[in-house]
Amino acid sequence: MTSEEYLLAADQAIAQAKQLQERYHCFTVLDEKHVRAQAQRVASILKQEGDQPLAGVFLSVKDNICVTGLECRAGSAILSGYRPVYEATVVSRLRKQGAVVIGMTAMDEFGFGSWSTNVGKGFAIPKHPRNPEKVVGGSSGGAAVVTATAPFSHLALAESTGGSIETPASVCGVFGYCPTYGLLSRHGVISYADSLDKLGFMSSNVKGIRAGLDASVGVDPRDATSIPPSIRPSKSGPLRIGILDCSHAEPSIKEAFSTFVNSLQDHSCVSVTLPFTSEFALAAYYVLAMCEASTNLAMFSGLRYGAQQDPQGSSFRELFTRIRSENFGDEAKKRVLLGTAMRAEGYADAYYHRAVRAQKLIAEEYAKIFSEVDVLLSPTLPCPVPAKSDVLLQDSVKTYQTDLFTVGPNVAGVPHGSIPAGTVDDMPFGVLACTAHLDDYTLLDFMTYCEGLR
Amino acid sequence: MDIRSYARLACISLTQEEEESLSKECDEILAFFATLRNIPERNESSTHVSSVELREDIPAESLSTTQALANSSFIKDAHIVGPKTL
Repeated sequence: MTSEEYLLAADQAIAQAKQLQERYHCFTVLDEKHVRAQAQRVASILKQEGDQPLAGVFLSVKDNICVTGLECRAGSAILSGYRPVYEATVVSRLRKQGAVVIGMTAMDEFGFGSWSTNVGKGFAIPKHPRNPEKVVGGSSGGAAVVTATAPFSHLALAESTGGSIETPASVCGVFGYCPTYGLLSRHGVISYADSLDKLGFMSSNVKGIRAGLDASVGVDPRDATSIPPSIRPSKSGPLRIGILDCSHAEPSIKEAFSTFVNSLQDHSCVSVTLPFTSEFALAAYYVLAMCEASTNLAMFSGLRYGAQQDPQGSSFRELFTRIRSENFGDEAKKRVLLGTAMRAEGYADAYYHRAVRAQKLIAEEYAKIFSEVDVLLSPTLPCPVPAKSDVLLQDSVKTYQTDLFTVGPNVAGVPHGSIPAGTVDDMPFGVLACTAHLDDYTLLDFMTYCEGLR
Repeated sequence: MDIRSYARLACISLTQEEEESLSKECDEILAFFATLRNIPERNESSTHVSSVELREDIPAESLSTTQALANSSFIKDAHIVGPKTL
């Protein structure tokens, strides 16, 4: 691609991204000038140094990942106007390889949701491209919509804490990948729950995800939990595939999953169960996530960044309370309150400390199952894609239970990805594949194999 | 769950209506989480799933004052203005 062709492609991508925004409300920020400035820089590098690995790729970035100069709000009104003065390590690494950030994508406020309906005050709920009455999945809903609809070369950088990449990928019919915990630096991510947050990718093809991963792995001294890129070589030959018990899924999902499993002729399949995970993962996940979120959100007080008010005439407590109460949405308030309670004396032993213990036991159960199988499969979601109107009326516990299959690998920190596998009720259906810690290439190769089955 | 006291700790004010609905909902959620009581006891200490090695404590470049204050609206003499405490 010449630099002139490249700049033309950038202009087209900007125009097309604007159209997507009008139709689906999938972006929170689209800054034409910012895109053009980046494109000019890449064009000049192309002219002087020749092709770059990610030149021509337009990167959408979830609204909780910092990009220098672009407003970043994690989908919350409390971060209105916040423009980071530093950039997430992964974004910098992708940009160094030639990728250009096209915009910031819509999400549930701080990642607090499964359907992208818990958007912050003043934010629009993204629309599903196939059916505007249905949810897009969350919390990285905007990323999935852009991935499903972008006519330009696109890669979505998203983030998962308990299913925020896999669920929207499944709901929108695209590939979603969440790596081994620590493989991608979290520096520059607006934290939800540090022991669970992981950056990952969505793409319409697995090749794009692999390119994104290879460009962004590596230890980062700014993230103490980042690990060396010691991904094991992909396993060759027929794989041993564990088919997870999915008796709690709805009948239409079980049927679609069974059809998918029957198509895996080249591998040997065996039924497996994860009894400890299926009993405790949901509760352990939500307790950990809420406890960590309540501490992470304590820094949003309206004094240093984001929504601010004149401090004169108030005490610190009055000022902080007013700003937090006016700007946090309902789900954020609920999770902060529950997280605060479950860390408090009298509750911590019954909830937080037990959840920490459960996290370790869940990781051990996954390690044991991966001594018997190479890949573990389940549906990504236990139910067909719901309507927005149903989700908005649903009680919290029922909503949390739809994360049944995604919380296990997220709590265990193992790599996993959602694979588009047909439709149920005329909406996309996804299968969740997991592999052992650092078997990310085996996972991506298996996802590529499944891509060939379509 | 005493929602009012935790709301005060978390610096969140709730209307009477919010307090009532959240109180009921939080109790239902805590009842759902109570399944964790069935986790078998183990003597070993609980740790994170991946081990974390702390880096050497070496001074490094940090944000400049201008950068650190770039997002604050109320600044005086290179400091953030807060409420009066006296």
